[in-house]
Amino acid sequence: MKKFLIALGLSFVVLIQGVFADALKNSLTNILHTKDSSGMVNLSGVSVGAKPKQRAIKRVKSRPASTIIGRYNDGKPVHKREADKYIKKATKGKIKDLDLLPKKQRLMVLKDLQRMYAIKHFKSRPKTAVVAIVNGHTIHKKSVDNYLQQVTKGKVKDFDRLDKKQRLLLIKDFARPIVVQENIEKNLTEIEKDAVLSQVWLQKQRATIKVTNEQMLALYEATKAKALAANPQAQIPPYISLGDKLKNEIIEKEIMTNLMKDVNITVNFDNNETQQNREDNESSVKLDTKETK
Amino acid sequence: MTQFKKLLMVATLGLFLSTVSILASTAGTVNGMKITVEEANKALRVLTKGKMTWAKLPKEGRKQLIEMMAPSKLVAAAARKQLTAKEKQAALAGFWMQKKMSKIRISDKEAKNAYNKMKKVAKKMKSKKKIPPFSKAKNGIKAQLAQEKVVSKLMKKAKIKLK
Repeated sequence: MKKFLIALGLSFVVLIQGVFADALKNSLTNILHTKDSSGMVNLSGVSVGAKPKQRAIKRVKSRPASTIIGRYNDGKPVHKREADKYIKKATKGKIKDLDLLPKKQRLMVLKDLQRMYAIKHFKSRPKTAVVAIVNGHTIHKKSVDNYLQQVTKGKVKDFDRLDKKQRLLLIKDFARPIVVQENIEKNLTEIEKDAVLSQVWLQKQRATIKVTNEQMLALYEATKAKALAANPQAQIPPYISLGDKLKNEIIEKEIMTNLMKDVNITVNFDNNETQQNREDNESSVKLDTKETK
Repeated sequence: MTQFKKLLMVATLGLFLSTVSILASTAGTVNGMKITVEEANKALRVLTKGKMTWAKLPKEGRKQLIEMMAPSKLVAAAARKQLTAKEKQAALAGFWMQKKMSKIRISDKEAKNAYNKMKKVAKKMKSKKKIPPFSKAKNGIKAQLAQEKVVSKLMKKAKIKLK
């Protein structure tokens, strides 16, 4: 019985193994037929015995040192030797030939050289030079330089050191008051101008005139007496409530007194339109201002 | 010679006629400054509500009117003489700007946009200044925008030539 059981077990194991082997074979053949998407390098095409291929190196033919590679802003040529020297210094001797660099870097070297040249050979225009014309008004370098110094807080003092874009911006900013002034001249009438300037002048005068309490009190008392003389039952406001009014009145009076001092007023009483000479005209009268006050 | 005489005669006649026309319109003078009949009539129009003219005004009235007009003439002359060029320029520019700005309207929306922009910039710059609420800043922003509009309009028209 024991022998029979062992034989049966062995035959079962042999049968099962065949089944598993088939599954493994199937999965492997599937892998072979499907495209690898794992990102691993496929070395199947590599021939191990083959000789390594040498990558072709593009040999650059270096130009002679005297070659002109560009121009400075004043038209002078930029020679290759200058660029070579510059690269050698910049790369600490690692690169000595401009032609070894790609085009982009060669251009950068040229621009650097041009910039350095411009700084070294910079020539500012004289202070009296006209740097711009705005609506026909000439703008001199001196005034723009001063403005630039003001705007940059002393960091930049020379208009000619700015590039074209910056120059235009600065001139636009500088020209604002000029353009505004031009419009004022065009658009304001003489009457308007007189009115505005008179206001400013009066304000200035008011600020300079000092009024004492005694003056204010004296005016108050005088006004009060006048009012009571006209109407004994008139209600007089208290002194404190009239403070500013009294002060302004005194100031105005003082300004007018100063203005009308020694003033010479003449009035034309003639209706005749063909009057020829005011001084000869009997109907013209000179007024004594002291009388008219 | 005869041609020269003719020219001189024409010139003298022209000068005579122009002097007549100038003097004819003079109502009075204040320290040599002329007050024209036109100016006097303008003042009378305001004072008498158009009821009186210089021609109809009696002697005493004329005298009073010229005396009344004298201070403004004197103030204007003093202002022109005593104010510095800078003061004059600033005063006239301020007045002109106000005049121009009064014609420009800035909407609340424009002001709000500008306010938000300013707020953003202040935040970016980490400004420690307290930003007032829009309701308080609105009028100031509107004035600023109007001023910018006036000036930029002018600058657009300006002919700028760099040398």
